[in-house]
Amino acid sequence: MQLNEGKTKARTAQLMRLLVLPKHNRPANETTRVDNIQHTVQRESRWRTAANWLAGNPKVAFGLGIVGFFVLVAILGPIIIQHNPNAFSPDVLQPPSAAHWLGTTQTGQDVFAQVIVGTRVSLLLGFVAGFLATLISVIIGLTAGYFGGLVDDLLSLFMNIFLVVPALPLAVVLAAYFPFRGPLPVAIIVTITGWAWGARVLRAQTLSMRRREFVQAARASGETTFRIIFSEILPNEIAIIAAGLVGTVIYAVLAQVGLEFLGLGDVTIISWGTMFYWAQNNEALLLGAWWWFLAPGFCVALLGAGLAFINFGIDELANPRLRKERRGRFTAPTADLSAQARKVEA
Amino acid sequence: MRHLLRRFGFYLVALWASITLNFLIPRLVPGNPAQVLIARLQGRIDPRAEHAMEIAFGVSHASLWRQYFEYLGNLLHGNLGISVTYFPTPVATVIGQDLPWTLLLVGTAIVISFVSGTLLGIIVAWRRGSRLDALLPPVLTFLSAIPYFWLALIMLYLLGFVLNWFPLSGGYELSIAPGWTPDFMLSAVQHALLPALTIVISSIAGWMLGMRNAMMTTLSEDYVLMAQAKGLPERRVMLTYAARNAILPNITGFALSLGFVVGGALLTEIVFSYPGIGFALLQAVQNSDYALLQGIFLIIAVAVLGANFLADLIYVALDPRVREERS
Amino acid sequence: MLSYPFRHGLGKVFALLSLLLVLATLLPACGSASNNSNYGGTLTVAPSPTGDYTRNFNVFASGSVLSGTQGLIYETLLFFNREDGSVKPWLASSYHLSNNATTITFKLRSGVKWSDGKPFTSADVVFTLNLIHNHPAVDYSSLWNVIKGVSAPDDQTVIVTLKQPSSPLLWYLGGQTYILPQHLWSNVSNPVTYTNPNPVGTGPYLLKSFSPQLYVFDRNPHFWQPGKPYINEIRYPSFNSNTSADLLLSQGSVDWTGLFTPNVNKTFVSRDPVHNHYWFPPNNVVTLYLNLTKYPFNTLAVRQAISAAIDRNKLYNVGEGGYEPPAHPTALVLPANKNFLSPTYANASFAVDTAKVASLLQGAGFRKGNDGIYVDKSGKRLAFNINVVSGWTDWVTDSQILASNLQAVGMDVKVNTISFNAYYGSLQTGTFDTAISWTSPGPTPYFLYNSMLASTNTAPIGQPATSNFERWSDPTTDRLLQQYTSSPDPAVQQEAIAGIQKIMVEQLPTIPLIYGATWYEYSTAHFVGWPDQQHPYAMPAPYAYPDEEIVVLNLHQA
Repeated sequence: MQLNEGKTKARTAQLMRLLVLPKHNRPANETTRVDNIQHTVQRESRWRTAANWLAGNPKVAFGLGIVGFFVLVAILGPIIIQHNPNAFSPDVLQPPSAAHWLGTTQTGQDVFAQVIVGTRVSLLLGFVAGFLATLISVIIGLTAGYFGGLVDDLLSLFMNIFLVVPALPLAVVLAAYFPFRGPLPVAIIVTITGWAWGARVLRAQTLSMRRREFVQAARASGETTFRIIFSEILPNEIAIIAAGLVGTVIYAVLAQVGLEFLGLGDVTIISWGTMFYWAQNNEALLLGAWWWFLAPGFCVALLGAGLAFINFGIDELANPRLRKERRGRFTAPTADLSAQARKVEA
Repeated sequence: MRHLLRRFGFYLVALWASITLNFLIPRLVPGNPAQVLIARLQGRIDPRAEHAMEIAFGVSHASLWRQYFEYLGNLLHGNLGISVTYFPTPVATVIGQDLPWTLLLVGTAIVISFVSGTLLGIIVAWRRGSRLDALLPPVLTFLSAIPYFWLALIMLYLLGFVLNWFPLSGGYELSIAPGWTPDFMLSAVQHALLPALTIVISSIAGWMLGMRNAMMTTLSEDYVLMAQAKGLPERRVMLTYAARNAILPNITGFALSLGFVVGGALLTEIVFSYPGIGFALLQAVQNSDYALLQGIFLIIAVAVLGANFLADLIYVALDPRVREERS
Repeated sequence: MLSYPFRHGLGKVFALLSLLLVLATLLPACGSASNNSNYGGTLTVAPSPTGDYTRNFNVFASGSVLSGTQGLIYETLLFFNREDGSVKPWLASSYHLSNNATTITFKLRSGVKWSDGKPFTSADVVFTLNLIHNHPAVDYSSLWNVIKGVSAPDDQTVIVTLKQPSSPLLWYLGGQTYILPQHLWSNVSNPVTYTNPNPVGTGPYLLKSFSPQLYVFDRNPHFWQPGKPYINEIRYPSFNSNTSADLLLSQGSVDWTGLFTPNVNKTFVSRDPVHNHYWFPPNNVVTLYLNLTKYPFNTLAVRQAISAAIDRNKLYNVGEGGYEPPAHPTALVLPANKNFLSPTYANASFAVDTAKVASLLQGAGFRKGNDGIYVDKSGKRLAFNINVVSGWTDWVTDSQILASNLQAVGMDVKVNTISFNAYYGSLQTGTFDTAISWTSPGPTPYFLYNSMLASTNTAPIGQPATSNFERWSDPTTDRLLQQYTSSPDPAVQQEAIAGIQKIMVEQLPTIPLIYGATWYEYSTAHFVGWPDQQHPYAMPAPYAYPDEEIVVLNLHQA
C-alpha cells in the first residue's frame, strides 16, 4: 500500500513541475552549448550556490547527516560490536541492559548487534536496488523520450505495463516463486517493480528537451546520438534523476523490509526486515519485548526520513520557488511571492 | 479524441499483457496445487489419487499454449476457475466475498488521506515560512517513512490491546449478523477505524507534500500575481486561483491510487485480521492456487487500468492545454 | 383488572399456581434427560488462522473443509484415540477383524438418525465407500488399494473384504472415513467439487448460520447419544494471522485454540492462571532425513556421528521454546505409544557425545583437514546442506542449531531456507542432501514406521516418493511391516514393532530429533471437561478430527 503511495507522491511533484511551469519560467540553468564559457561559469556558480544554500538549509543537512551516519555504521559496525549477532544464549527476551544494550531476542541473541549487522545488508540492498532501478529508468526514459516514434511507443508500452501491475502483490508472487531465497531475489524484485515511474518522468522531460535549441544545435553540428543523449540532455535532468534515485532508494528499503517481514527473503540472514519477521513470529509485542520490535523499525523510519529530507533539498535546488525564504525580510506573504517571481524573471 | 482512443487501445494491450504475465509466472515454477495438498495430508496418498486430484484441481499437463488458450477462452465466458485454497469454491465467489471489504476500507482511507493531505498542503503553502511550514512536512515525512506494518502493529498493540480503544480484529463484531442494519454498519465502521487510521497516517505525507510543492510553484505564476494585484481577498486567491490549478497533478495521482486500492491492502489485512482480497492473494501464493492468483491479478489489472484511463479522462477534461499539445 | 384478585390470599394462590404452571411447561423443554445446569452455553473455537471462510462442508475437501464438518456433523464408524491407542465403538457398535486380516465386519449402532430424521443404515456405509471408489480423487487414504469389496447383508451389518491382509486399514476405514447419507449424496453429480452448503449428518451439531467471518453450529436434537451434547452452540470466528488469534486468546474471548504461541506462559497462562491452560502432547517425530542414496549418508558410521553431535536439548529449549522434548531413539511417540516400547530400549535416550563422533568418523576413514572439517580418504570434504521451509520459523531455528552443532564437530553444514514447493519437490524426487521434516503418525507406531521406512513408499531418485524420502529399502524392515499388517493378534504386532525398533536404533535410517507437538490451549472459565495430561481421552487440538467431536461431547458448563 504505502510503497506505491510514497513513489506516486514524490513523482507528482516532478510531474507538476513539467506540466504547470510555463516555459519562460524555467530555472535559469539551461543554456546552449554554443556559449561554452558562459555555460561553465554558470555551472560553477551553480555549485557554489548549492554549497552555500546547503549550509543554510537544516532539513537537507539533517538528512545527509542521517544517511551518512547509517553508511558509517554499515561499514564499520560489524567490526565494533561485541556480541555475535547469531549466537544463541540463555538470556532469553531480556530488556535493554548494560550487557545487552538493546536487549535480547526469543533465542537469546543480542538485538543491538543484530541491528548493527543488519544495517549493512539493508542499506546495501536498498542502495543497490535503488541505483539499478534508477539506471534502468534513465536508460529507458531517455531513449524513449529522445527517439520518439515507434521506439517511444514500444518502450512506453513496456513502461506502462510495469506501472499498472501493482508492486506489492507482484513482489509477493515473484518472491514466493523464486527457487532460492535471499537478498538477490529481493533486490531483483524491488528493481523490477521500481524502475517504471522514474522512466516515465524522464521520458516526459526528455520529450520536451528534445525540441530545445541546444539540442537542435548539437544535432546540426553532427554530434552522435549517444553524446547528445548522455552529454547534453542528461546533465540537465540531473536534479530529477537525483530526486528519483533518492525516492527509489526509499522505496527499495521499504519494499525490501516489507517482503522480508512477510518471510519472502532469506530468514537466516540478519537484516532489519528479517528481524521484523522473527519478532513478529515470536509475538514480540504480545510478550512485551518492545525493544526487539522498536529498534529495526526506528532505523528504517530514520533512514527513510533522512532520505526524504535530502529529497526536499533536491526539490528546492531544482525549483527555486520551493526555497524557503528567510523570515523577517518580507512582511507579508504577498510581497514574498512577487519578490520571488521578480527574482526568477531577472 | 484520437488521443483518448489511442490511450484506450494501449490499455487493452496492457490488460492483455498483464493477463499473460500472471498466467505464465506460476506455471514457470515447479510444484502444483495437488502436491501442496498432498504434503498437507502428510503424503498419505496413492499416485492414482494424486492424478485424480490434479484433474480435479485443473492442473494440466497439456502444452503451455493449449492451457493459455483454454484460459483465455474461460475468461471470456466469465469463468475464473475453481480455487484450490478454498476448494471447491469458485474463484469468482471467493473474490466476490472479499473484494467489497477491501474496496470499502482502503477506498475510504485513501479518500480521507487525499482530502486531508491536500487541504493540509494548501494550508502549509498559504502559511509558508511559518512554524507550521517548518514543522508539518518533516513530521509527516517521518511518519510516511515508517514501515507500514510496523506502524500498524504498534498502533494495534497500544491502542487496541493495551488501551482497548479499538477492536482487535475482524471486519465487524461477530455477534451481529451481517446485513444492512444500523448495528452492523456501526460495528463495521468501528472495526475499520484503526486500520483506516494507520493507512491515512502512513500516506498523508505524500499528498501533502505534493500539494504543497504544486501550490508553491503556482503561487508564483503571473495570474496569481495579477489576482493579488487586483485586490482579491487572500482566501479567494489561494483557493480559486492557486489551488485549483495546483491540484491537477494530485488529482491524477489520486485516480491512479484508486486503482491500486484493490491490490494494496495485504499488510493491513494481515495485521488487523481484516477481511479482504490481500490475504486471499497471499494464501493463493502459498498454495500454488493458480486460478485464484490469476483471478485476483485480473481484477487488480482491470481496476488499475480503469483508473489510469479515468485519470487520463480527468486530465483532458480539466486541462485544456493538454488537449492542444497532444493532438 | 388482574391486580384485584392478588390483593386477597386467594390471589396469591392463583399467582403461585400460575407460576407453577408456567414452570411445568418450561421445564421439559430444558433438556429431556437431565435438569442439570451443565446444559447450555456457547463455545468459541479458533482452530487455526486460515482467513475468511467459504461455505464448504464437503468432508472430502481436506484442505479447505470447515472445522467441525469432520466429527461434529459427519461421524466415523470407530474412534481411535491417538493419545493411547485405544479404540471405541462409535457409529459401529462393534467390529471384527478376521484371523487372516482379510475381512472386517462392522455391526452398526441402531437408532441412529440423520439430522433430517431419516434412519442411518448399512446402505449409507456401503454407499460412502463405493463413492470413494468411484472418485479416486477423494481416496486420500488409498482405501481401495486394499479393499476388494463392500457388502451389507442387512441394515445393521457391513462386510468389507480386502485384497490382502491389512489390520492397519481399520484406522483409515474405521477412524478416518466419514459416513455420508445416501439419500442426499446419491444425487450429487461430482462429489469432488460439491461444496455441500447445507450439511446433513449423524453428528451432534447442525449448521445454524454462515458468513465468511463466522459460522455457528447448534445442537442436533436427534443425536444418538442420550443427554448429549451439553453445549448449545459453537462459534468459529475467522482469523488472518496468529497475532490476532493470540490477542483474542489473551483477552479471553476464545475458549479453545490450537495455536503455536511463543512463550505461552507469558502470553496466555499468566493473564488468568486459574482458568488458562495448555497442553502440548507429542504426536509425531520431527526427523532429519538423510538422502541414503548419496555418499556419505549411506555409511552407518557417518549417520551415527551426525546423530551423536546433535544437541537435542538445545533444539528443545531454544528452537522450540521448551515445547517439544527430544525424541526417543526408537522414534516411538511417547507416552502415546508406550505399550509398544520394547523393554530393551525402555531407558534409551539420545546424548551428545563429541568423543564418539570423532572415533566414529576416524573409524570410517575421515581425517580432520586444516580448516577443521573432516576429509575422507579421497580428499572429499564432509560438507552438506539442510533443507527447511523458510516460513516454518521454529524449524529454521532448529536447522541453524543443527548446523552449528555439526560445524563444531567438523562438518561443514549450511542451512537452505527455501519455498515450500522447492522443499517438498526436492524431498519427493530425492534431490536433497538432508532435510528436516515431519513423520506421519497414527494410533500405533506402525503408521509412522510404514510411511517412513516401507520400500513401497519410496521411489528411485528423480521419481516422486510418497513419504519414504530417504530411500530406505530393506527387506527385513518390509518383512516386519508385513508381519504387522497381516495379523490382528496384538502379540504378533508387538513383536513386529519391536523388530523395527531395533532397526531404528541400530541402523538409523533417519535421525529422530524432537517430538512434533499438538498445539492446544483452552480456558476453564466457561467450560470444563477438557482433555489434559491426566485425562488424555482424545487428541486435544481443535484441528484434530474426529477428536474434536469427542472433546466437545465431553465439555459442559463450569
